[in-house]
Amino acid sequence: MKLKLLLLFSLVITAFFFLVSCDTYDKVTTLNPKTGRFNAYNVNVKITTASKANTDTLKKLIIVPNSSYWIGMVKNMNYFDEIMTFSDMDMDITKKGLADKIPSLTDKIGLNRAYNLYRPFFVLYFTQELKNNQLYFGLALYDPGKVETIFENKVFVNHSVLDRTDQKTMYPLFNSLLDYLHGLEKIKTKK
Amino acid sequence: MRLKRQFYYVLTIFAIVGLTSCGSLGKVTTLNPNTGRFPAKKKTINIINKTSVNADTLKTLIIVPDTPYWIGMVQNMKFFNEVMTMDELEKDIIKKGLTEQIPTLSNYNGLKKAYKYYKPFVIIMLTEEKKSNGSWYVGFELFDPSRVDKIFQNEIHINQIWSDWTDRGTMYPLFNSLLDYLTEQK
Repeated sequence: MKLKLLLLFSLVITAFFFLVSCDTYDKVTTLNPKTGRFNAYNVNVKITTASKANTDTLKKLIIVPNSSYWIGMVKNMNYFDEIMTFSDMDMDITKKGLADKIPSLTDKIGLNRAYNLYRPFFVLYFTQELKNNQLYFGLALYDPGKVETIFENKVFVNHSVLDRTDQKTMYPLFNSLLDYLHGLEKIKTKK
Repeated sequence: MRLKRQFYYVLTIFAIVGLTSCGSLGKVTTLNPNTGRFPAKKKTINIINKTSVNADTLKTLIIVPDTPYWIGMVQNMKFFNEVMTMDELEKDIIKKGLTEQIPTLSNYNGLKKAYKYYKPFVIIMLTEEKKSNGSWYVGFELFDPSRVDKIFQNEIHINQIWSDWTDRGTMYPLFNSLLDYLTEQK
């Protein structure tokens, strides 16, 4: 009986926390027009790779994971001209009769062939890393033409689910990617 | 693609963290120069399958899982002329401009083509199996892309309750049994 009460109590507390916080989980958001960034907490995002890249190609087409969250978020970054999922690209390659020449999109060789024979693109994907029992989420930007990852960031993720909100994980990661992309543009205009 | 790999990586890490509580696991060691084998406990290893192959071809190149442990251990076996990860193999194929002949490595046909147009190689994988009687086995599989078949398979029983998946009790004996097979080839 006492146990039941305790359980109920803890449930209420948890529900309360969920409800009072304005934080979200897996929710597509738009840029704050004032800041040009996604509204997020000021968490420490570590950038592990940031190479130069040709922004003309980079802007044209980005391939994202097959989910509405990714399509929505990347669209709302207002940076890329065209966004496709792996599934979209696979369909288009098949429609254009290139499937025999590009039999797979699941490995580096397949992506490299698609880059050369279909059209140039970059790939954005999600990373997870467990290091010394600490979990990190991150974004990575891959260049199939050069066969190298040009950008990688990561953020520490607390074990508590309450701390795994968009505002503490994904939005800061997307903001850091935006900073990188806008930085590339600046380098270009300087030239 | 990458996500799945990352997921497996995280899973593996979890498994390793869980299992290292008793005895070491994941520590790269070198061969004992006197015996030519890794220092291991005496364990019963089941050899499920072994096919005789040409030793010179076998030696050419081995593809190992992308962890420092596998790379280190297989290098220290001192049998293969070259040790690579799948990632390195892919990059080298692209670099050498062979993607016309080898358009993917994600299926058997692609691997077979890589064997033919790049160079002969074998792939080593770790296997885990829960048998119908409920006991757990881990083992190695050596895959030959030209035969589209495994040429060697071994396994060792592990006691899950005592989590005795360790280097000396599990991994090194498996590596030694693989070494026995490799050195038997003519």
